[in-house]
Amino acid sequence: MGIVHLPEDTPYPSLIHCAICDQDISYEAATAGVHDGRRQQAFACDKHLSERSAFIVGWADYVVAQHEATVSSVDRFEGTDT
Amino acid sequence: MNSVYIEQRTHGYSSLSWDITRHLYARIYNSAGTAIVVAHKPSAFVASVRKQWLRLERQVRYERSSTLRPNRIRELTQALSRVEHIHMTAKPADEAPACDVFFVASLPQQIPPDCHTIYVINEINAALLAYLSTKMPPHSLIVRYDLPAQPD
Repeated sequence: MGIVHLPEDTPYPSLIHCAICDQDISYEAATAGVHDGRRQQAFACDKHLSERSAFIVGWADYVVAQHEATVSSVDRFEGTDT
Repeated sequence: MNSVYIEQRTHGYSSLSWDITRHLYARIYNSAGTAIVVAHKPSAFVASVRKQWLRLERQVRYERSSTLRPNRIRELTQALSRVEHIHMTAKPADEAPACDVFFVASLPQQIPPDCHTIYVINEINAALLAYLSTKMPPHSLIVRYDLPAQPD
């Protein structure tokens, strides 16, 4: 149960970060979800899949946060350039 | 098998089609591309998942109407648009190229190049897993389902 294999070129931390509840979780308790702002795989607790509101709203909020982080980093980059 | 993620799942108390529906929702949320579901009876299973997909669509609609946060409303509107435009079929990819999720009884010889997720309900051996991983784009996902044992 959970994530049982990662690509070889991917960092292999001992715990995975849950994109929905912001906790560090084990690979056994994780499920693969959306892509983050750098097009990397994001993960969440498997239990969120059975939570209606947390699941739908959680991924939406995560994508919004990723988008805002990307926009602010671009703004910073352009700010230093001008 | 070195370039893909592999996830092992059981569907517990929820139905298999409901579990795949919710997992698939996250997979297609912000990425283009197709998915393949390998199941024993693809025609029956696609009907079941389509039904659950409509249920999920209603839930996303409900969540969108339940919030006052503009960013969340905008995001859920985009998610809803994506959910509404997902097409599922039990036909092979070459017969229905416009579809997003293909339900098949066995893996096709050619896997669409934009296929980032494969769900395997049937048993799968290590050799087939290795084959799949070479045919999929790097960092794709293979989801294997452990089905509960059938009573005698």
